[in-house]
Amino acid sequence: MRRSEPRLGLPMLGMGVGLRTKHFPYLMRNDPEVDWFEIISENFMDNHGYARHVLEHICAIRPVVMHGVSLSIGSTDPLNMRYLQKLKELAGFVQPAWISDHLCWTGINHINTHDLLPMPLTTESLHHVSSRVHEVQEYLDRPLVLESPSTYLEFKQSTWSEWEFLSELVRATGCGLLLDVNNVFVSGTNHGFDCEQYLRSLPHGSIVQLHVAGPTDCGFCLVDTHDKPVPSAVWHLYRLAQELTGGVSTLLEWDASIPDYPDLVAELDKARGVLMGLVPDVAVQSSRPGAASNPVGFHVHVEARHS
Amino acid sequence: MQAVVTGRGTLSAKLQAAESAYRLRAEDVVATSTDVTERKRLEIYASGYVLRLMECLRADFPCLLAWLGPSVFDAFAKAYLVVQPPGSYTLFDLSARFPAFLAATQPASVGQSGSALLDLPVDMARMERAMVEVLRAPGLEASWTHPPAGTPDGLLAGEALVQASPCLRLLTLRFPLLDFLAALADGRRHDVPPPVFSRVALGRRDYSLTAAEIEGWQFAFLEACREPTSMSVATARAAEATGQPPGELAAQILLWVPVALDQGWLTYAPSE
Repeated sequence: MRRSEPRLGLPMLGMGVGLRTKHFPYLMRNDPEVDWFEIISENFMDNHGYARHVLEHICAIRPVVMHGVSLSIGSTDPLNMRYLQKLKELAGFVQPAWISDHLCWTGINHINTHDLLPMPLTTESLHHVSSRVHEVQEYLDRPLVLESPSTYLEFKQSTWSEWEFLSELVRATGCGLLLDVNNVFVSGTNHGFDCEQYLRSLPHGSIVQLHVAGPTDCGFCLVDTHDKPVPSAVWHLYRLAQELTGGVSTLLEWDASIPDYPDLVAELDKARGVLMGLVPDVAVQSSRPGAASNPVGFHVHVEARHS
Repeated sequence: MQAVVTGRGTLSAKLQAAESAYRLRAEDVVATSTDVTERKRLEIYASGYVLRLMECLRADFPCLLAWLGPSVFDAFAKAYLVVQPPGSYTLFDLSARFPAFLAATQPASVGQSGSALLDLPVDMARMERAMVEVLRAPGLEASWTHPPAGTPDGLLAGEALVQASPCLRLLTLRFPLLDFLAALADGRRHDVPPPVFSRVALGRRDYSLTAAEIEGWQFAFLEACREPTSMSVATARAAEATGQPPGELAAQILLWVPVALDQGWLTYAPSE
């Protein structure tokens, strides 16, 4: 599975957005105006309704990447083979450029919290996750790409920094990295680490994709809400990440209070300006206490009911 | 951490329960590199868990939410999450057992009118959950043309093969709910329907939901068509289920089949 080429030999897809139900009618009638799409894998598993129809249309005209939220690679529960089977079946339909998920656990004892829970970063957990990554990559017959989610707590037992852990994981498994610079900004703010040091310390050749998004300032911490414009601080990290990697695929995440599609594309287009040094002057927006982290971007309610 | 995120009660109660169960305090486990306390950090996850899943349940039962009101609905939804925390890899499965949960938590003994009022939210939940399932299940869109071209050979002789759509859901309800749910969805006032036995067919055409109250013989016929079946065999099964004379029923069904086809409930199966 190890590939020595940049981005694991995976393609540079350009600028992309998440495929969201709100935009289905627009996308079925208009040109997508972006280079590629990312789907939340779980939203399309066992879904044979309109969403599958739209997905089929999109797959025919643009590359698609599958981004999952339930792999729970860090859990002590055994890997869910039924889930992996569904993931593989979906990949057979989508033919994704790559498959990604998160360095996290979502639950133990057969519970799925549907959140991306932080892990203690220790040698023991590194070996545990490495073993599971190998197993998943072998089952899927492709490299797995992992994203480190935003976190709101760290464990006293951790002996690795997040960037050290990710680097070792890549070295041990040959997996790829999805670098979410918004997550780095959120976690760096919440835990007090240097975001630029984080970016500079990663194995840049293994970074396959970047995420950008807009968090929320809840007063005592930042929360990864994916519901606001990308702030300047994140754009600066994005520009640095593109310099360090030599250029990888960009995905704008926006999962709540989703703007109309043309407005979403306009936000993504700012990335091109950023790469030329034109960083928008956008502050991190605040919200009343109670903003919920929205790492999974569910869309259960999205099917239209036209009776 | 999971115990604190998914446990019952306030954050303080959950922390205390976790401390008792695992003999670990939050300050033993959670690092604090800034001035944000361990408690506040855990609270982000605990409150996010509830908020996120509550949003899912509200989205799956919008009419029930509108009728019960947010505080009553949320009370049941939170109790459901505590008693039956999610285990599936997909949030689609989260609401699957909510109707049964509502039924199971009904008081054991109430008057007849009280019982009817308690049955209404259960049937509303069953109906709304079925609607969500219909919209996601495999349907006929890939293979179905509307209207079906021509009349298949052997239709009048009862030899044509028919099959119910795989997404068809047939419900028996204690209330006529279609108009009531439509009014709630539109934000219109509508009287609570009186308890009247009702049969409903839910299907899909061109990825849009179709729904109608149906007669007992129609219900029985559709049920008999779950697998590819000849018209005559399905009619015979429906006649047996309803006690109607087969000949009389065959004529009714022949006249009604175009409606069932148009609604996306039924299709002509390829002859073997």
